Amino acid sequence: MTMALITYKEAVRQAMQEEMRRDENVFLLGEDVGVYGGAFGVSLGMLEEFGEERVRDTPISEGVIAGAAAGAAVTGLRPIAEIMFSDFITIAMDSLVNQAAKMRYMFGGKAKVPMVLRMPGGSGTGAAAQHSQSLEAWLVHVPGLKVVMPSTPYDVKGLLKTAIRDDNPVVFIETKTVYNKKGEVPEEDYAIPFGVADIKRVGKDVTVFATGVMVHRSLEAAEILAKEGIDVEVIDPRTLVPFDKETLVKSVIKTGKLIIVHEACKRGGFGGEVAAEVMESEAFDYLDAPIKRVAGKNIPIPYCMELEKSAVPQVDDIVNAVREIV
Amino acid sequence: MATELLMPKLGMTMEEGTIVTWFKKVGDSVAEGEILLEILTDKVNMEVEAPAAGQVLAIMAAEGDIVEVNKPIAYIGQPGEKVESHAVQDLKIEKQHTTQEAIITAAPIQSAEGIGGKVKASPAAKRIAREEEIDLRAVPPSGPGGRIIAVDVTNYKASPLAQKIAQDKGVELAEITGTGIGGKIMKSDVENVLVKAGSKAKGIRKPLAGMRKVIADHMTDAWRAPHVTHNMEVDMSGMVELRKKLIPGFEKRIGLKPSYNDLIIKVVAKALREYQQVINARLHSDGLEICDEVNVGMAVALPNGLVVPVIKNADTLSIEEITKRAKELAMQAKEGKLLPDEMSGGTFTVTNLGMYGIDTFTPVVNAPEVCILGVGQLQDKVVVKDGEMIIQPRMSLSLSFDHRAVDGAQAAEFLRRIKELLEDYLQLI
Repeated sequence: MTMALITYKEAVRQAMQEEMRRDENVFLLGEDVGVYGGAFGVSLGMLEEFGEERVRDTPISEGVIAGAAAGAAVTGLRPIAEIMFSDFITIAMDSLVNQAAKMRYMFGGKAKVPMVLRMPGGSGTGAAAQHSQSLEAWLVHVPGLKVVMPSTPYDVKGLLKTAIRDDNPVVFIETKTVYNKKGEVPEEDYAIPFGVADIKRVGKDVTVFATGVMVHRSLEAAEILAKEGIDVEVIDPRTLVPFDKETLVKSVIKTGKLIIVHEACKRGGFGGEVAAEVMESEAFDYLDAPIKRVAGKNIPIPYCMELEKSAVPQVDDIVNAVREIV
Repeated sequence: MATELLMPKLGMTMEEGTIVTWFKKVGDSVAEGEILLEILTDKVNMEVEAPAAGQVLAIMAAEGDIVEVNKPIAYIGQPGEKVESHAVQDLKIEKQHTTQEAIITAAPIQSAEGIGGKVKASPAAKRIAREEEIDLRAVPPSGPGGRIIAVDVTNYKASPLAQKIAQDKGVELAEITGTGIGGKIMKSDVENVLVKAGSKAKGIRKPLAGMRKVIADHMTDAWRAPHVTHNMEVDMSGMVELRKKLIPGFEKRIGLKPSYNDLIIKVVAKALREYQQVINARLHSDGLEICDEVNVGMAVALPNGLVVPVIKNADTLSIEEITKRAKELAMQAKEGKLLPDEMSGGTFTVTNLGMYGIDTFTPVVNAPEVCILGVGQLQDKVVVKDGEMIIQPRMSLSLSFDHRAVDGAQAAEFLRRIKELLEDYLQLI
């Protein structure tokens, strides 16, 4: 397999381009995705290659974007809809939750909704409280939606292809602070199945379960802790729905300790769900310390960059949490 | 309230005791007065009885541990009863690791008691305890907030020495099946794993435990003294004659025959009284103690070591009394029933290897005493007397002395005096 070193952003673009070349039913819609190339430049050059028909700039209305995508999907196309910031999912919720997520079930399987709702999430850019949230917990709560949260260029490309090929609505949360992070990605076509977690670092002393940018911070923390003789295993679920419980349970049985790290607010966050899954599993009898959540504070993300940092977990927070229970 | 069992103080000088064997484990029920454990102290093994009836709630020191006197070693009470935590916290156990002569001091043990008398333990700790049938109430916690965590339970399964070796050599205790009481992982179990793993260890090392350890420490200490040994041969004709004369009366009165060793002790005791200022002494770090009492120790070999019971005030005893007392002490020694006080307070030691055919040897002074008399075999020898060769029963004496306390000439004089007394028993009267 030939590997190329590309950014996360490029990997997203390549996945869309390759799928659009492979299947003419695939198209991209969203605010400023065409002429401007997307708010983060993800779709740069795509308008030129695929034309206005397949790379469509929309009005500034997430309700329209999600509704149009759901309609297009149920009538035979495979839309990739971009929500400029995941915060704006709130406006798209009715179309997504009450329409897209329900149709296949309510029509007895006769309708399918092959749409992908791409959206950059998370803080770290000084974009303040309305452009920095991590709302994945809202979405995993809705039956009928798949929720994907890749952390690396390799994962984002392979998972986006699977998302586009999936016949169900997929919420695809990109991590905006890793858009420019580089990683090795195969030049050949590949896809990563949903529901398969990736062990980003093998360790034996403690399991750190992390999503999005927290995967990278956890890996950094693991290197610091390795110098202290603490061997950290880092697990990236990659998809929250479906959820790879087996990999996590196996890891916790091995290490006896679990720390869950996510950027989203702790209260009602996905970490609580993960902790409960472990408690209900056979890993319970192997837990040798209370499960710990390292998560965002229960506050709106502050605009001030320094305050913003203190509102979400940093490398030191993860290191300290591990030290506390190991 | 649970009854506390303390490390007994069995003698004036006893400061600590070693746990040799526990006959009961946590959860077993005991009757009052039932033998609960065996301890070793100052060269003696003692059985310790349960102070109350009930269930063994906690055992605070493992086999091989050395515990200070009057520190709790176990708790006995009703099932489910809790053990007073403040008492437990005070306990400081020194664990020995003899292969490296390292002394490990255990962290203060806390109680893992949670709300409502429940034990605070992690799910993993509880699972292991369940699988291994370990009572969590007896496991000292090391986790945050006094929680028992998995390693505490796996460690509890192993003797302190086994824990230390496993830690040093990176052996996983959880993967070892113990062969000790109640499946306890012993040192040998860990070493067997190491041997199987092709470790460099050749043969099986046994820890210097119990009496061996006491002897080893004592000898190392004694050997620091600069030793000199004088040898002298004695004509034993008189003693042979005296013994023959004494036997009938002794047998009639006490049912015992006097041994040559008894006679030698009598002689030595008399000489010691005469040379009290020089020989009947004990050398301590802060000075020489000239002893008032003449207390003669006699070395008694046992299958697993050696003990030195002491005949107190030997200079005031008749030969008959010495014979009787020596026999009593030797019997007690062989049965392991000597009390610590019967082995302390010696001012001089007699050690006899004659029965093994040894002629002369260099005994090591029984510190803090300053002299020891080695007795060789009694045998007929040809000697020249008045230009004639005659046959005479003769015996070698080897007097080792601590040259810091005793000069060569003083020791020689003392030995010559013993010779005189042995060769002219009328002086004993």
